[in-house]
Amino acid sequence: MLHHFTGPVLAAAASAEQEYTGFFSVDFWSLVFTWANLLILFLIIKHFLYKPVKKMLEARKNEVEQTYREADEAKEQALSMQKEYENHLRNAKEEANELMRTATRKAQQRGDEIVAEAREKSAVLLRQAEEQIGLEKKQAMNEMKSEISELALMAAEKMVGKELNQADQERLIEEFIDDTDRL
Amino acid sequence: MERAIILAASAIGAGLAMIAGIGPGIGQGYAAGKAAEAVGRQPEAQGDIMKTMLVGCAVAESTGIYGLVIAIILLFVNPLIGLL
Amino acid sequence: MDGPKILFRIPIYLPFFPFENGIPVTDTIVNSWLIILAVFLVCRILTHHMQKIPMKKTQLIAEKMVTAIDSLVESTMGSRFMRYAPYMLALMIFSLCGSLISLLGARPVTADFNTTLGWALVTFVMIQYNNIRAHGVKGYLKGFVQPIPLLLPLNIISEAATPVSMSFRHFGNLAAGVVITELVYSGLAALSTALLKIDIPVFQIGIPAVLSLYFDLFTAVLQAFIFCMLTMVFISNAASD
Repeated sequence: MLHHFTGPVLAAAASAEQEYTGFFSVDFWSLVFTWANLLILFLIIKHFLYKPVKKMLEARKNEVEQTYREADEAKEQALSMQKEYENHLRNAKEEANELMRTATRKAQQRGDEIVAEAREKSAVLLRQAEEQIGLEKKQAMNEMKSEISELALMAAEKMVGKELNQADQERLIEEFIDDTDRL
Repeated sequence: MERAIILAASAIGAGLAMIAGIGPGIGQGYAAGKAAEAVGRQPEAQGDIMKTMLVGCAVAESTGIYGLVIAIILLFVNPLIGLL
Repeated sequence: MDGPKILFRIPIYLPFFPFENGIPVTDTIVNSWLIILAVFLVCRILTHHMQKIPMKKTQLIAEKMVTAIDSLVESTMGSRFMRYAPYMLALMIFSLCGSLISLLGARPVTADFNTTLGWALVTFVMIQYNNIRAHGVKGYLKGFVQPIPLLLPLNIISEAATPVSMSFRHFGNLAAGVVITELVYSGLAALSTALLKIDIPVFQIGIPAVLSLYFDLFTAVLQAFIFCMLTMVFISNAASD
């Protein structure tokens, strides 16, 4: 009949007298052994295969999640930094523009001031010069008048040959000056 | 003599019991055909269809297995001899 | 055809059990012990030095097994039954190895009716437990007189038929394989004696391998899958409706 492999030791033990259970019978001790075996195998599978693998998968999942979270954080940080830098840059540009505008305006103002001052000064100088010229002209005129009158008097004295009295002299000078004025 | 009759009758009974194999054969063939149709209609659901079909076939096979068990009992356990 | 062989008896004599010769240990039991040992060793090898970044194929196999059983349990029973996943994995491995051990020439563990009956009874207890847990004792008992009290015996029979049909199915498939393989072997031996006039069964070489491919491999995988599948479906059904 059946010659199944059962292991050498067990085969030797069983060789003396073959006993068989029924092909299709319920055997209490076989059932008990089946349950015990199932329980043992279940515990083995659970503790030596299922749990370690599950733990490993869990750990890997956590790590992946953490990596993703960190990456997201880093990305967010980078984005905010970029925004900040862009803000800074824009501010700096605006500041520079403002500075330039102020400087230009100040320079313009200053230039205008300088020009106005110069113009004023020159106007003053011109007026002073004109005044001086007028004064000198008048002085020169007066000097010339007095010299001319003296000259005329001397000439008249020479011509008349006598000393004129004070009143005549005065009258003569007047007349002369009037004449020269009419010249 | 009685023993021989019972043994012969048991063998005939076992053979008759295996007629039960016709039912699951037809049923499983029908199920497999329907599954093939379903796969043809929805090839993307092949895994689910296969799973469902296998479980359904296994359940449909029960009657055939019962017949087989009866046949095995009649052939190898010979319970009727004990009635003598 | 003989049943499982009794290899030895454990000399323990209990007063209320009808075994005056001690506790008998059959070859299927011993084979299951061998399977348990092998599974234990394989588990140790597979989960040896696991790393977060898998460097070895063994870890990948272990992870594949666990994730596959997890997804199977989740798709069949729902995520609230995830605690059954290790049991299902153990049952599937036990059934698969118990059937495939016939490839080594040993008697398949699942071709012993006591084995499949034991597993089916565990499933039965789980079904009843989940039913009571979901509906309470009153609801559970009420379920037997639904929809009309006249159906009480039928309900009881259908409830009891679950482990019977499960165990018969698994046992029948594997036992049929054993019987047919045995018949083929003896038939081939007789054929080689009759044709070649020698006592060496020449035809036994090679030819049974084709049959073995169906009866051992295909049936073993299918029945292991179906047994677990039915267990899961029955348990989740008991807890839901």
